[in-house]
Amino acid sequence: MNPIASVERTIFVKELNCDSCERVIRRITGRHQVQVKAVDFTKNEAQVEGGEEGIRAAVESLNANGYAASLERMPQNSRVKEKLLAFAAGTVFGREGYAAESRAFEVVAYSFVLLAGATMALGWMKIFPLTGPLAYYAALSAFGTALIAGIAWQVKAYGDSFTHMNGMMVGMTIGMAAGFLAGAIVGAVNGMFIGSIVGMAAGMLVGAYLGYCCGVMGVLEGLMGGVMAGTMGAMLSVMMVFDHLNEFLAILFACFAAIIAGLAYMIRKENAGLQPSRPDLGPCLAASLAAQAIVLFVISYGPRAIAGAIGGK
Amino acid sequence: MKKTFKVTGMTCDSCNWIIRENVSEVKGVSTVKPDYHCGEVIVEYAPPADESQIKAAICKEGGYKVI
Repeated sequence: MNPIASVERTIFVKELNCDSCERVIRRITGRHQVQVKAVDFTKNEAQVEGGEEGIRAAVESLNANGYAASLERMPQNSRVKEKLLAFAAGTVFGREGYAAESRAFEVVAYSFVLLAGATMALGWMKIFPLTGPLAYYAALSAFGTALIAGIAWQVKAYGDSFTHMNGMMVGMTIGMAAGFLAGAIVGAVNGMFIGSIVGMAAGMLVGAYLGYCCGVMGVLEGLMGGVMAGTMGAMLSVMMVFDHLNEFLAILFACFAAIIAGLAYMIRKENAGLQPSRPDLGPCLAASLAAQAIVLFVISYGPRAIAGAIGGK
Repeated sequence: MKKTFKVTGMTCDSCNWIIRENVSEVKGVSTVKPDYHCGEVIVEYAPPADESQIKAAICKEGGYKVI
C-alpha cells in the first residue's frame, strides 16, 4: 500500500452486530487493499485505512454483498427506507450489483409487452372475443403472467443455491400468487369450478417448479400454495361478483405486484455474495405466452357457471 | 456427491457468507448452501475434495463446529 495515498475513513455499516459481521467486513475490504483498524458495534461503524478509490470500491462491494454500507452516517430509522430505495433504483436502473434483479425487471417488461401485444392481436383477429370485461381480464392476466415470469427468471438466475427456508418461501409465495391470480380471473368469468381448476393447476405447477430450487420441501410448499390459492382466488371472485369485483381485482393485482417485489428483495438479500447466472429468455417468454393463451381460451370459450354475471356486469 | 453437514455456532447471514466463502475455496466443491436457520451446510463436491477438507474449511474460523 502506498502510504502517501493512504487515508483514514469511517465506513458506516447497518446491522454490524457480531464477530462474524466483522470478519466479513475485514475480508471484503481487504480485497480492495483497505485495512480495518477498528470496529464499533455500538455505532455500527468501522475505521478503515486505504486508498480513496479502494475505500469507495470496498463500500460498493459491501453493498453488493447485502450490507447497507456508506461513507456518510445513516440515521437508524431510515434503514428500511434506504434499503428499499436502493433496491428499487438498482433494479429499475440496472446499477452495479443488481444484474439479476434488473434483468428480472426487464423480463417483466418484455413479457408484458409481448403478452399484451399478442392478446390485442388475437382479439383483433377475432380469435378470442375480447370485448367489455373480458378485455380487462385479459389485460390483468397479461400483467400477472409477466410478474410471475420475472420472478421465475430471478429464481432460476440464482439456481439451486437456496436454503430450505428460502426455497419454501419461494415455492409458497409464487405458487400462491400464480394460483390466486389465475383463479380470480377465470373464476370471475367461468365460475368457481373452472376457476378453481385453472387456479390450482397454475399455482401447483409454478409453485412446485420454482420451489424445486431447494428440493422436495419447496416443491411441497409450492403444491400446497397452489391448491389453497387456486381455490381461494376463484371463490373470492364468485363471492364478489356483484360487489365491485373489477375494482377489487385491480387492488388485488397491485398487492401481489408488491409481494412479488418483496420476494425479489428477499431472494437478493438471502443470496448476497453469489454470482447469479443469466438464464435464457426464450423458455420464459414461451411459457408466459402459453399460460396467457390458456387463460384467454378458457375465459373466451370455457363453460360458465353464472350466466350473464361476468365480472359483475 | 452431495452431503449435509450439521454445524453449530451459525447465527446470522454473515456466518452463511463466511462458510460459503471458505468451503468454496476447496478444490472440487461445486455448490455450498449454508443455512443458519437449520444449522446445516449442504455441499456438492467431487474429488479432489473430500469430507475432511470440507469439515476443516467449515471450522477454519468463527468457532463453528461440525457435529
